[in-house]
Amino acid sequence: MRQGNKVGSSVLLSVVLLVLAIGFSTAISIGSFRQNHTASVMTSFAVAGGKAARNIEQALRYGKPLDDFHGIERFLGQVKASLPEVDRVMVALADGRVMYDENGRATGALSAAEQRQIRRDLAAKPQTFAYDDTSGTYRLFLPIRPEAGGPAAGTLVIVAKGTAVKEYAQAFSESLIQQVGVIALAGAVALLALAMISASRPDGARFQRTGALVVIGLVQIAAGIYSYGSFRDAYIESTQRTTAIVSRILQSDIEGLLQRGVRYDQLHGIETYLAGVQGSVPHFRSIVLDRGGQARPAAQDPGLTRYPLAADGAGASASLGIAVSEEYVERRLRDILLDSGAILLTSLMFMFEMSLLLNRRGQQRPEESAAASEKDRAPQRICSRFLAFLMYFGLFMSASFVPLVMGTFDEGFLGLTGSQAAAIPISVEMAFGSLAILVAGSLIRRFGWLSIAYFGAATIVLAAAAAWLSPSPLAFVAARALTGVGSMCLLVSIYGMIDTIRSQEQRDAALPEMLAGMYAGVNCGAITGALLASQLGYQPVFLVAAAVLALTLAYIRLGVPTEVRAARAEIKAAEAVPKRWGLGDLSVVGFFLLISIPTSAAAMFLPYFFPVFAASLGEGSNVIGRAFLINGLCFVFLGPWLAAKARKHLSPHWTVAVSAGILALALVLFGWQGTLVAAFLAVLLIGIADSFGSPAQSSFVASLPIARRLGRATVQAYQLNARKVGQVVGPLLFSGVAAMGVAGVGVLGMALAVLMVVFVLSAAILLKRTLATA
Amino acid sequence: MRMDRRDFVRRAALLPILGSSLLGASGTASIAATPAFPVPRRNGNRRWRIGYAEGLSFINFAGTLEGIVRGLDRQGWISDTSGMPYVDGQSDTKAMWDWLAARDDQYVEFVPDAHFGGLSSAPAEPIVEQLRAGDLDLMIVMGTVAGQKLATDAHTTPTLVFSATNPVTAGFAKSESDSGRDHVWAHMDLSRTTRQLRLFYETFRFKKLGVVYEDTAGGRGVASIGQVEEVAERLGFTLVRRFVDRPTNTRDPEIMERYYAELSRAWTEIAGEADAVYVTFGQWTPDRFPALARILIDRRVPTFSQSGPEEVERGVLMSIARADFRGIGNFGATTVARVLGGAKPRGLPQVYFDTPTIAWNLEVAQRIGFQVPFNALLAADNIYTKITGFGG
Repeated sequence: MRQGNKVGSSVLLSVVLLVLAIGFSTAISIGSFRQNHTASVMTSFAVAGGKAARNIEQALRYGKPLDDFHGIERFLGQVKASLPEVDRVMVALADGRVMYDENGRATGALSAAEQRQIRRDLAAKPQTFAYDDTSGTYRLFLPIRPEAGGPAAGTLVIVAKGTAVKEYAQAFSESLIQQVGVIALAGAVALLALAMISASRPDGARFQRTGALVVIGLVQIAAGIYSYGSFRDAYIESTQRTTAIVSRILQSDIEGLLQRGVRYDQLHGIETYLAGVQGSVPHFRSIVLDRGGQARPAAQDPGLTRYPLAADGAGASASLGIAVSEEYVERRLRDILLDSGAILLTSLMFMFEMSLLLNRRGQQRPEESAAASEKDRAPQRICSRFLAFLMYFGLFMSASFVPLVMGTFDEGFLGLTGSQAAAIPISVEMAFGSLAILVAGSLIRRFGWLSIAYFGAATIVLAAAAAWLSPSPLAFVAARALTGVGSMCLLVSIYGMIDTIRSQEQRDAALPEMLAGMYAGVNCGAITGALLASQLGYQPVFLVAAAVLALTLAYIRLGVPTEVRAARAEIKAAEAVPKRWGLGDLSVVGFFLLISIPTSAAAMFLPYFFPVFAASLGEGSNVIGRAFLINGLCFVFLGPWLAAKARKHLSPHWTVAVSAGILALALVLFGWQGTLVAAFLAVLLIGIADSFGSPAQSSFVASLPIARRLGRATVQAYQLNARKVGQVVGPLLFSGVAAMGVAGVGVLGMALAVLMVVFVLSAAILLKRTLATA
Repeated sequence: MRMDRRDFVRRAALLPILGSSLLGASGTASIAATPAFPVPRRNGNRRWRIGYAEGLSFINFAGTLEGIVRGLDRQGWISDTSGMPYVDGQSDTKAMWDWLAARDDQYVEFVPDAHFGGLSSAPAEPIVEQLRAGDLDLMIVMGTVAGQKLATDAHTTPTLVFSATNPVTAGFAKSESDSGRDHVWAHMDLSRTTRQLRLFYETFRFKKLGVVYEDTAGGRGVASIGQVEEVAERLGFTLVRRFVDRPTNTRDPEIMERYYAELSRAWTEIAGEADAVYVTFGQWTPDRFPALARILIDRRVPTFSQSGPEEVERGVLMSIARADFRGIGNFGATTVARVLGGAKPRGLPQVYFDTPTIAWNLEVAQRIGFQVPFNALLAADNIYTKITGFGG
């Protein structure tokens, strides 16, 4: 009976984990597909709309004014005819007045929000779109610029019913859910079988846990493969759709002229025109007008799909040939594969964190915890990891668009420009966070970690809700300040929780695990938030984040074991000595200057330098996302293992030195090669180095004499702040060496290597003195 | 990103300028918003008596008159003008006027003997006498010459002048915003020539531009020479000028033949000197124009018509000009209605930009060796593949 109960509860927990994990990955896949599909549909609309906009621009250059444009309905009608899903095609002036649609003169105006979006987005992008949930329509906005690079005279607006755009994505969602349901059912059966097998084994619990992870992982991989297949098919379908649209439009253009009496031999400069259209569609290799019998090489391309055209007045015939670039399509399919892999890995991260929580809950029996020795895993390790995961999941849901929120308000902020105002929320968050670290670090000894944790968690929930409700830029900035305070207080409290572990070894193991949870939360939160934002808009995502962050409060109250909640850090006799101010202690200051700040600055290669470098090579946000994922994977899956190995084989200062050395090597390698591959290698090395180096630094400062006087948590708070200083200094350093090109990054790496050597030497001298005086 | 719901309750929509909607599907009013047009009414217990004057028979004059009549029909001052004898390209206004005069409309009377044509050669004094006697309530005047003769202080009958190239330089209007006389109003589109020349120059980058015109105040006004000179100085090309005398009587065949001979001589001379020719308003008939255009075509000189697509059809390479007369007709009808409603002509907006259309003649292009770009063809409103009346 007891065995049966055990099997039952094991299966139940595993199935819960299966449902959570598969639910998360399916939701991400569906969200990602919807986002990609919508973007793909908008791109095909933009091809047709862009052509019309170019025709209008040409006429404007010939002196026709946009507010009195004879015959504009001809261009707009052509767009509507080539896009069956489209309801309406309009032209609005720069002041937002709608002047025309496909039937001729029209009245109306774009909303203030639309005009703001147009002004903001079209300054940097060729198109932008929005979903209007009042009318249930998608609206694509394309600028009309008479002079290339000049101000827009107006905007071409394509309006399509939301249902028409979402239909395909809806079909995908239903198909995926059905398929995943079948796979999940098979997984549940496998879990049941696994539980039964585990029950009869002496190492049953461990076998069950590992086996469940493998089964659930395989289920996710199977679902991921199915998703990838659907993504692939959708992409191929979208290229076919775009090709069909372009061919229809070009046929219409050419045959329209033929109907007006123009002959094929009078279509001068059409090659330039077709080249322009080809350039706007990345998957086209060539577009040619084959005037029957011409022996031009381009017209003989066997890869051309031919579209016959009408004969002209002189009886001459021709055909339109469009060739798709197989190389580009293959490259895009490879991107889709990598993106699918990224979704899968993020889902596995989520699954792993959830498994730690559920297995910990499943294991928690009063008799077991009382009998647990320090050699067993301290509960604080799981709790700090999961709490960090939850916190960063909620915090990073808004990571992709916090700077953009300032641009959504009607009013400006303190007279700053758009880009200046965009930086304020993050700067304020960091500044207030730094202050909070110092204050929380000094208060934690008096109040214990739990009070600070409750305060921090409540504050970040409040901050997220405030961000959701912010009616003005000032209110939003205030909300971000509150976020900085709450998040850093909660982070310091998590360090404080770890500090309550009696065993030095367990404390050292807890730090990389906490970082692993943090980075898992970062990756999962960022991808979830970005997908939600594309569906709901920015501010509603803060509400969802508030709900997630509220789970931290619930977890602290209900998930953290009572004994952990009540635990306080061990205070040694030496800590009763009156405190000296920490920064007067040269060893900790020296450590900050030689290691903490420089390594943190060097690690800004990923968030600061890599996106700029990748963009300069024409790479998109998916490439940047992959780099962040690689970094996150190092922390989540490699960090705890590497940290354990380092603890076993190296002393703390050598662990710090080795990680700093690997960081330096990463930068030097990139500076030497300067390629995208070298950049990815650098990101990998930085991830590896930081995954065990960052916790090692915290352990190191906690072992310094100053920590015995001020308390480990306080000194670790200083360490956190020193890392923040590095995060601020890093971009300045990278931009400072930008004049040297990629070699400048190598110079930074060599400088870091020098500082590392100085640290090693000074640490050796200090150690020698300590041993001599002992 | 989804639209924020809160944005839909914000008052951010702009109200359209009322005048634009009043003027119909084409054309724009001047800067100020125009109030609604008055409700049709009689002049006490009688109808309003309207007269008409023109310098000569011209397509633009007939088209503008037709547009004004249609506009008055739409506004309810007259009814059912569908039977009016007018076809596109027509220059005769007498038949139209006779048809209008024979009607019995409720509010307005197109006075049968108040159609005055040929003012380019005929004296204006009898008309002025009639106006001074108060016989007419409003005069519709077409063209620069007629405008110069009738938009004067010799009478106080409201006089609305249309289709004059530049009333300011012609001397019968003070400025774009002020006619200078309480009873005078003149339609203004002073930047049209500038727009045309800028486009012509950007297409061909000529160094010397040929222009033929009558070297009188009226002739310079008709051809908008002041603007041509201004643009030439700004863009850095020089003018090659030739002068011809305006025919004193367009009904006299001998005078007209002399005129055509002068034109031929002038165009032949500038064809030899200029890189391009700006064809200004002239008093040729449509059937005689192709022969004149041949002079420039044979010498492979690019040409731009100040007038519009009718000349492109008959042998000019390109033009950017008004689409049709509906827009100016609506604008004119509204002005007439307001004057009849009691408004002073001087206080009414005069500026109205004709809706421009782009016209190319591909046969001309082929003959002069110019390849019209594909993009330009797509943007064109009128494409002529033959030269009407060219005869091979």
